Amino acid sequence: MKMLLRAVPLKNRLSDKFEEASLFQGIDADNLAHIEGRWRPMFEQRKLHAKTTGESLSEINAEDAHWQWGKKMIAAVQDPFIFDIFVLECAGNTQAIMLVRKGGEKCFSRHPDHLRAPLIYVDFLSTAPWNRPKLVSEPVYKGGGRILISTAVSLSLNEEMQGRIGLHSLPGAEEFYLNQIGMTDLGKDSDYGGLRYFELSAPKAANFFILPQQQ
Amino acid sequence: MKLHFTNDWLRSQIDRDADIECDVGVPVHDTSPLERFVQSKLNQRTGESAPEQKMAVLHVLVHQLRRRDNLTVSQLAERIRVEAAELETIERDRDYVPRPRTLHMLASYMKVSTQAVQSLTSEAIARNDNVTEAALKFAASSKDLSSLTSAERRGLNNFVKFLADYKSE
Repeated sequence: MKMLLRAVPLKNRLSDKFEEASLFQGIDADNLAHIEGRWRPMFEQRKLHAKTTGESLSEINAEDAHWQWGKKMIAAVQDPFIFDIFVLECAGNTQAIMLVRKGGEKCFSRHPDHLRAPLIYVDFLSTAPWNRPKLVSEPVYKGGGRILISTAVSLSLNEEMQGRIGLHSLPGAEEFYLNQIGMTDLGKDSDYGGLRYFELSAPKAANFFILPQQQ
Repeated sequence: MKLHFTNDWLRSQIDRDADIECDVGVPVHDTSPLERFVQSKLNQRTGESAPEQKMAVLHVLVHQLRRRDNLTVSQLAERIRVEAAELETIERDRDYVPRPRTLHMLASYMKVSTQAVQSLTSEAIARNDNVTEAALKFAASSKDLSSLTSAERRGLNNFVKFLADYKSE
Protein backbone atom coordinates (compact mmCIF):
# COMPACT_ATOMS: atom_id res chain seq x y z
CA MET A 1 0.00 0.00 0.00
CA LYS A 2 1.32 3.42 -0.90
CA MET A 3 1.35 5.79 2.05
CA LEU A 4 2.29 9.45 2.27
CA LEU A 5 5.06 9.92 4.82
CA ARG A 6 5.47 13.67 4.65
CA ALA A 7 5.80 16.76 2.49
CA VAL A 8 9.50 17.54 1.96
CA PRO A 9 11.40 20.35 0.22
CA LEU A 10 12.96 19.69 -3.18
CA LYS A 11 15.12 22.33 -4.85
CA ASN A 12 14.20 23.45 -8.34
CA ARG A 13 17.53 24.28 -9.93
CA LEU A 14 15.91 26.36 -12.65
CA SER A 15 13.99 28.70 -10.34
CA ASP A 16 16.51 28.28 -7.48
CA LYS A 17 13.56 27.81 -5.12
CA PHE A 18 12.38 24.95 -2.97
CA GLU A 19 9.15 23.25 -3.98
CA GLU A 20 6.96 20.98 -1.92
CA ALA A 21 7.42 17.32 -2.78
CA SER A 22 5.64 14.27 -1.38
CA LEU A 23 7.58 11.40 0.09
CA PHE A 24 5.74 8.06 -0.07
CA GLN A 25 6.38 4.61 1.29
CA GLY A 26 5.23 2.13 -1.37
CA ILE A 27 4.57 2.56 -5.07
CA ASP A 28 1.52 2.39 -7.25
CA ALA A 29 0.69 1.97 -10.92
CA ASP A 30 1.06 5.72 -11.53
CA ASN A 31 4.73 5.57 -10.56
CA LEU A 32 5.29 2.62 -12.87
CA ALA A 33 3.52 4.51 -15.66
CA HIS A 34 5.79 7.52 -15.09
CA ILE A 35 8.91 5.37 -15.29
CA GLU A 36 7.76 3.55 -18.41
CA GLY A 37 6.23 6.54 -20.15
CA ARG A 38 8.47 9.40 -19.06
CA TRP A 39 11.77 8.09 -17.69
CA ARG A 40 12.40 5.32 -20.16
CA PRO A 41 12.01 7.33 -23.40
CA MET A 42 14.47 9.93 -22.06
CA PHE A 43 16.99 7.24 -21.19
CA GLU A 44 16.62 5.68 -24.62
CA GLN A 45 16.93 9.02 -26.37
CA ARG A 46 19.98 9.98 -24.33
CA LYS A 47 21.65 6.66 -24.99
CA LEU A 48 21.13 7.10 -28.72
CA HIS A 49 22.57 10.60 -28.47
CA ALA A 50 25.57 9.28 -26.53
CA LYS A 51 26.31 6.87 -29.36
CA THR A 52 26.44 9.71 -31.87
CA THR A 53 28.71 11.83 -29.68
CA GLY A 54 30.98 8.97 -28.73
CA GLU A 55 30.18 9.10 -25.00
CA SER A 56 30.25 5.80 -23.18
CA LEU A 57 27.14 4.70 -21.33
CA SER A 58 29.11 4.56 -18.10
CA GLU A 59 29.96 8.23 -18.55
CA ILE A 60 26.27 9.06 -18.36
CA ASN A 61 25.47 6.41 -15.72
CA ALA A 62 23.11 4.58 -18.04
CA GLU A 63 24.68 1.20 -18.53
CA ASP A 64 22.18 -1.44 -19.49
CA ALA A 65 24.43 -4.19 -18.24
CA HIS A 66 24.01 -3.06 -14.63
CA TRP A 67 20.26 -2.93 -15.00
CA GLN A 68 19.87 -6.34 -16.63
CA TRP A 69 22.01 -7.85 -13.94
CA GLY A 70 20.33 -5.89 -11.13
CA LYS A 71 16.88 -6.96 -12.31
CA LYS A 72 17.88 -10.58 -11.92
CA MET A 73 19.24 -9.91 -8.43
CA ILE A 74 15.97 -8.34 -7.32
CA ALA A 75 13.86 -11.00 -9.01
CA ALA A 76 15.88 -13.71 -7.26
CA VAL A 77 14.60 -12.63 -3.85
CA GLN A 78 11.62 -14.80 -3.06
CA ASP A 79 10.22 -12.81 -0.16
CA PRO A 80 9.07 -9.36 -1.33
CA PHE A 81 8.44 -8.27 2.26
CA ILE A 82 12.11 -7.91 3.07
CA PHE A 83 12.00 -4.92 0.73
CA ASP A 84 10.71 -1.44 1.31
CA ILE A 85 10.26 1.02 -1.51
CA PHE A 86 10.03 4.81 -1.36
CA VAL A 87 9.12 7.34 -4.02
CA LEU A 88 9.42 11.07 -4.23
CA GLU A 89 6.81 12.94 -6.22
CA CYS A 90 6.76 16.58 -7.21
CA ALA A 91 4.91 18.54 -9.90
CA GLY A 92 2.80 15.51 -10.77
CA ASN A 93 5.80 13.37 -11.59
CA THR A 94 7.89 10.64 -10.01
CA GLN A 95 11.19 12.38 -9.29
CA ALA A 96 13.13 9.63 -7.56
CA ILE A 97 12.68 6.10 -6.29
CA MET A 98 14.57 3.95 -3.78
CA LEU A 99 14.40 0.24 -3.04
CA VAL A 100 15.92 -0.97 0.23
CA ARG A 101 16.10 -4.34 1.90
CA LYS A 102 15.83 -4.93 5.62
CA GLY A 103 17.14 -8.46 5.82
CA GLY A 104 19.16 -11.11 4.05
CA GLU A 105 22.80 -11.59 3.26
CA LYS A 106 23.34 -8.04 1.97
CA CYS A 107 22.23 -6.54 5.26
CA PHE A 108 25.37 -7.21 7.28
CA SER A 109 28.00 -4.55 7.82
CA ARG A 110 31.45 -4.79 6.26
CA HIS A 111 32.64 -1.77 8.22
CA PRO A 112 35.59 -2.51 10.57
CA ASP A 113 33.84 -0.56 13.36
CA HIS A 114 30.97 -3.06 13.48
CA LEU A 115 31.57 -6.06 11.28
CA ARG A 116 28.46 -8.19 10.64
CA ALA A 117 26.18 -5.70 12.40
CA PRO A 118 22.78 -5.47 10.68
CA LEU A 119 22.10 -2.61 8.31
CA ILE A 120 19.66 -1.36 5.71
CA TYR A 121 20.95 -2.10 2.22
CA VAL A 122 19.97 0.25 -0.60
CA ASP A 123 19.39 -1.90 -3.67
CA PHE A 124 18.91 1.12 -5.84
CA LEU A 125 18.27 4.81 -5.66
CA SER A 126 17.37 6.22 -9.02
CA THR A 127 16.46 9.77 -9.94
CA ALA A 128 14.38 10.81 -12.93
CA PRO A 129 16.53 11.39 -16.02
CA TRP A 130 15.62 15.11 -16.13
CA ASN A 131 17.18 15.54 -12.65
CA ARG A 132 20.54 14.02 -13.54
CA PRO A 133 23.44 16.38 -14.26
CA LYS A 134 25.28 13.79 -16.37
CA LEU A 135 22.27 13.01 -18.47
CA VAL A 136 20.77 16.41 -19.31
CA SER A 137 22.28 19.84 -19.75
CA GLU A 138 19.72 21.58 -17.52
CA PRO A 139 18.74 19.20 -14.71
CA VAL A 140 15.60 20.24 -12.86
CA TYR A 141 15.33 19.04 -9.25
CA LYS A 142 18.14 18.71 -6.74
CA GLY A 143 17.85 16.92 -3.40
CA GLY A 144 16.11 13.67 -4.31
CA GLY A 145 19.14 11.63 -3.28
CA ARG A 146 19.56 13.50 0.01
CA ILE A 147 15.88 13.00 0.88
CA LEU A 148 15.81 9.30 0.08
CA ILE A 149 19.12 8.49 1.76
CA SER A 150 17.90 10.35 4.86
CA THR A 151 14.79 8.17 4.69
CA ALA A 152 16.95 5.04 4.57
CA VAL A 153 18.91 6.25 7.63
CA SER A 154 15.61 6.93 9.40
CA LEU A 155 14.41 3.45 8.57
CA SER A 156 17.66 2.01 9.94
CA LEU A 157 17.17 3.95 13.19
CA ASN A 158 13.56 2.77 13.39
CA GLU A 159 14.69 -0.83 12.87
CA GLU A 160 17.25 -0.43 15.69
CA MET A 161 20.18 -0.68 13.29
CA GLN A 162 21.67 2.58 14.63
CA GLY A 163 21.38 4.34 11.29
CA ARG A 164 23.74 1.98 9.46
CA ILE A 165 23.14 1.75 5.71
CA GLY A 166 25.12 0.20 2.86
CA LEU A 167 25.01 0.70 -0.90
CA HIS A 168 26.86 0.24 -4.17
CA SER A 169 27.30 3.63 -5.78
CA LEU A 170 27.28 4.16 -9.50
CA PRO A 171 30.61 5.63 -10.65
CA GLY A 172 29.28 9.16 -11.12
CA ALA A 173 27.81 9.30 -7.62
CA GLU A 174 30.77 8.15 -5.53
CA GLU A 175 31.72 11.69 -4.56
CA PHE A 176 28.21 12.29 -3.26
CA TYR A 177 28.30 9.36 -0.88
CA LEU A 178 31.89 9.88 0.20
CA ASN A 179 31.97 13.64 0.69
CA GLN A 180 28.37 14.81 0.97
CA ILE A 181 26.82 11.95 2.92
CA GLY A 182 30.01 11.02 4.80
CA MET A 183 29.99 7.30 4.08
CA THR A 184 33.05 5.07 4.25
CA ASP A 185 34.41 3.74 0.94
CA LEU A 186 34.99 0.02 1.45
CA GLY A 187 36.38 -0.51 -2.02
CA LYS A 188 35.45 -2.09 -5.32
CA ASP A 189 33.14 -5.04 -5.13
CA SER A 190 33.96 -7.66 -7.72
CA ASP A 191 30.73 -9.43 -6.86
CA TYR A 192 28.77 -6.37 -7.87
CA GLY A 193 30.04 -5.45 -11.30
CA GLY A 194 33.04 -3.63 -9.89
CA LEU A 195 30.92 -0.91 -8.26
CA ARG A 196 32.34 0.60 -5.07
CA TYR A 197 30.64 -0.29 -1.82
CA PHE A 198 29.92 2.41 0.76
CA GLU A 199 28.60 2.30 4.30
CA LEU A 200 27.33 4.88 6.74
CA SER A 201 28.73 3.75 10.07
CA ALA A 202 26.80 3.95 13.33
CA PRO A 203 29.00 6.77 14.76
CA LYS A 204 28.52 8.81 11.58
CA ALA A 205 24.80 8.11 11.60
CA ALA A 206 24.55 9.33 15.20
CA ASN A 207 25.42 12.85 14.01
CA PHE A 208 23.80 12.59 10.62
CA PHE A 209 20.71 14.67 11.33
CA ILE A 210 22.38 17.45 13.28
CA LEU A 211 22.36 20.87 11.65
CA PRO A 212 25.89 22.00 10.64
CA GLN A 213 25.85 24.97 13.06
CA GLN A 214 25.02 22.60 15.93
CA GLN A 215 27.92 20.26 15.23
CA MET B 1 7.19 5.45 9.73
CA LYS B 2 9.12 8.01 11.73
CA LEU B 3 11.43 10.32 9.77
CA HIS B 4 14.35 11.55 11.87
CA PHE B 5 14.97 14.79 10.01
CA THR B 6 13.35 18.18 9.78
CA ASN B 7 12.63 20.08 6.59
CA ASP B 8 14.96 22.86 7.80
CA TRP B 9 17.76 20.32 8.02
CA LEU B 10 16.92 19.04 4.54
CA ARG B 11 16.96 22.53 3.04
CA SER B 12 20.34 23.33 4.56
CA GLN B 13 21.83 20.02 3.39
CA ILE B 14 20.43 20.25 -0.13
CA ASP B 15 21.82 23.77 -0.45
CA ARG B 16 25.23 22.62 0.79
CA ASP B 17 25.40 19.46 -1.32
CA ALA B 18 27.46 19.59 -4.49
CA ASP B 19 25.40 19.48 -7.66
CA ILE B 20 26.34 15.93 -8.61
CA GLU B 21 24.63 12.63 -9.32
CA CYS B 22 23.51 10.38 -6.52
CA ASP B 23 22.31 7.21 -8.23
CA VAL B 24 22.89 3.92 -6.51
CA GLY B 25 22.92 0.30 -7.54
CA VAL B 26 21.11 -0.51 -10.70
CA PRO B 27 19.85 2.40 -12.81
CA VAL B 28 16.12 1.94 -13.32
CA HIS B 29 15.51 1.58 -17.05
CA ASP B 30 12.17 -0.22 -16.96
CA THR B 31 9.56 -1.29 -14.45
CA SER B 32 9.66 -5.07 -14.79
CA PRO B 33 11.30 -5.74 -11.40
CA LEU B 34 9.12 -3.12 -9.73
CA GLU B 35 5.79 -4.60 -10.75
CA ARG B 36 6.09 -7.30 -8.14
CA PHE B 37 6.11 -4.67 -5.41
CA VAL B 38 2.87 -3.16 -6.61
CA GLN B 39 1.46 -6.66 -6.89
CA SER B 40 2.80 -7.82 -3.54
CA LYS B 41 1.29 -4.81 -1.85
CA LEU B 42 -1.99 -5.57 -3.55
CA ASN B 43 -1.80 -9.14 -2.33
CA GLN B 44 -0.95 -7.93 1.13
CA ARG B 45 -3.90 -5.58 1.08
CA THR B 46 -6.21 -8.31 -0.16
CA GLY B 47 -5.09 -10.53 2.66
CA GLU B 48 -5.39 -7.86 5.31
CA SER B 49 -8.76 -6.54 4.33
CA ALA B 50 -10.54 -9.65 3.19
CA PRO B 51 -13.38 -9.00 5.66
CA GLU B 52 -13.85 -5.58 4.11
CA GLN B 53 -13.83 -7.11 0.62
CA LYS B 54 -16.50 -9.55 1.63
CA MET B 55 -18.59 -6.88 3.29
CA ALA B 56 -18.16 -4.80 0.18
CA VAL B 57 -19.64 -7.74 -1.71
CA LEU B 58 -22.59 -7.90 0.65
CA HIS B 59 -23.04 -4.16 0.27
CA VAL B 60 -23.04 -4.51 -3.53
CA LEU B 61 -25.21 -7.58 -3.39
CA VAL B 62 -27.97 -5.94 -1.33
CA HIS B 63 -27.85 -2.81 -3.42
CA GLN B 64 -28.07 -4.72 -6.68
CA LEU B 65 -30.88 -6.89 -5.43
CA ARG B 66 -32.88 -3.74 -4.81
CA ARG B 67 -32.02 -2.39 -8.24
CA ARG B 68 -32.93 -5.66 -9.91
CA ASP B 69 -36.28 -5.78 -8.14
CA ASN B 70 -36.96 -2.03 -8.31
CA LEU B 71 -37.24 -1.66 -4.55
CA THR B 72 -36.37 1.21 -2.30
CA VAL B 73 -34.58 0.49 0.97
CA SER B 74 -37.88 0.92 2.82
CA GLN B 75 -39.71 -1.39 0.45
CA LEU B 76 -37.10 -4.15 0.74
CA ALA B 77 -37.02 -3.69 4.52
CA GLU B 78 -40.77 -4.01 4.67
CA ARG B 79 -40.76 -7.07 2.44
CA ILE B 80 -38.15 -8.97 4.46
CA ARG B 81 -39.36 -7.51 7.77
CA VAL B 82 -36.14 -5.90 8.96
CA GLU B 83 -35.40 -2.34 9.94
CA ALA B 84 -34.76 0.00 7.02
CA ALA B 85 -32.01 1.65 9.04
CA GLU B 86 -30.11 -1.62 9.19
CA LEU B 87 -30.37 -2.17 5.45
CA GLU B 88 -29.11 1.36 4.91
CA THR B 89 -26.19 0.62 7.21
CA ILE B 90 -25.35 -2.58 5.33
CA GLU B 91 -25.20 -0.65 2.08
CA ARG B 92 -23.29 2.28 3.54
CA ASP B 93 -20.90 0.69 6.05
CA ARG B 94 -18.81 -2.14 4.63
CA ASP B 95 -17.58 -3.09 8.10
CA TYR B 96 -21.04 -3.51 9.54
CA VAL B 97 -21.91 -7.07 10.53
CA PRO B 98 -25.68 -7.59 10.13
CA ARG B 99 -27.68 -9.21 12.86
CA PRO B 100 -28.34 -12.96 12.46
CA ARG B 101 -32.04 -12.39 11.85
CA THR B 102 -31.28 -9.88 9.11
CA LEU B 103 -28.91 -12.34 7.46
CA HIS B 104 -31.59 -14.99 7.68
CA MET B 105 -34.24 -12.75 6.15
CA LEU B 106 -31.91 -11.64 3.34
CA ALA B 107 -31.10 -15.28 2.67
CA SER B 108 -34.79 -16.20 2.57
CA TYR B 109 -35.44 -13.39 0.12
CA MET B 110 -32.70 -14.65 -2.17
CA LYS B 111 -33.77 -18.27 -1.64
CA VAL B 112 -30.29 -19.24 -0.48
CA SER B 113 -29.05 -20.59 2.84
CA THR B 114 -28.32 -18.27 5.74
CA GLN B 115 -24.83 -19.72 5.90
CA ALA B 116 -24.25 -18.64 2.31
CA VAL B 117 -25.02 -15.02 3.17
CA GLN B 118 -23.18 -15.31 6.45
CA SER B 119 -20.13 -16.52 4.53
CA LEU B 120 -19.88 -13.02 3.07
CA THR B 121 -19.40 -11.43 6.48
CA SER B 122 -16.12 -10.76 8.24
CA GLU B 123 -16.83 -13.53 10.72
CA ALA B 124 -16.54 -16.07 7.92
CA ILE B 125 -13.23 -14.77 6.62
CA ALA B 126 -11.05 -17.27 4.80
CA ARG B 127 -13.36 -20.18 5.59
CA ASN B 128 -14.16 -20.85 1.99
CA ASP B 129 -11.85 -19.82 -0.82
CA ASN B 130 -14.46 -20.60 -3.44
CA VAL B 131 -16.79 -18.04 -1.95
CA THR B 132 -13.96 -15.50 -1.74
CA GLU B 133 -13.03 -15.97 -5.37
CA ALA B 134 -16.63 -15.90 -6.59
CA ALA B 135 -17.44 -12.89 -4.40
CA LEU B 136 -14.46 -10.90 -5.61
CA LYS B 137 -15.30 -11.78 -9.21
CA PHE B 138 -18.84 -10.62 -8.64
CA ALA B 139 -17.73 -7.38 -6.99
CA ALA B 140 -15.24 -6.71 -9.76
CA SER B 141 -17.97 -7.04 -12.38
CA SER B 142 -20.16 -4.50 -10.61
CA LYS B 143 -18.89 -1.17 -11.81
CA ASP B 144 -21.93 1.05 -11.78
CA LEU B 145 -24.33 0.82 -8.91
CA SER B 146 -26.74 3.39 -10.27
CA SER B 147 -28.05 1.13 -12.99
CA LEU B 148 -28.11 -2.60 -13.47
CA THR B 149 -26.76 -3.45 -16.88
CA SER B 150 -27.55 -6.78 -18.47
CA ALA B 151 -24.01 -7.95 -17.67
CA GLU B 152 -24.43 -6.94 -14.03
CA ARG B 153 -27.81 -8.62 -13.88
CA ARG B 154 -26.22 -11.77 -15.27
CA GLY B 155 -23.37 -11.47 -12.74
CA LEU B 156 -25.80 -10.96 -9.88
CA ASN B 157 -27.94 -13.93 -10.88
CA ASN B 158 -24.88 -16.13 -11.28
CA PHE B 159 -23.63 -15.11 -7.87
CA VAL B 160 -26.99 -15.74 -6.22
CA LYS B 161 -27.04 -19.13 -7.94
CA PHE B 162 -23.54 -19.75 -6.57
CA LEU B 163 -24.77 -18.85 -3.08
CA ALA B 164 -27.74 -21.17 -3.53
CA ASP B 165 -25.29 -24.01 -4.15
CA TYR B 166 -23.16 -22.98 -1.20
CA LYS B 167 -22.42 -25.68 1.31
CA SER B 168 -20.65 -24.80 4.54
CA GLU B 169 -17.61 -26.84 5.48
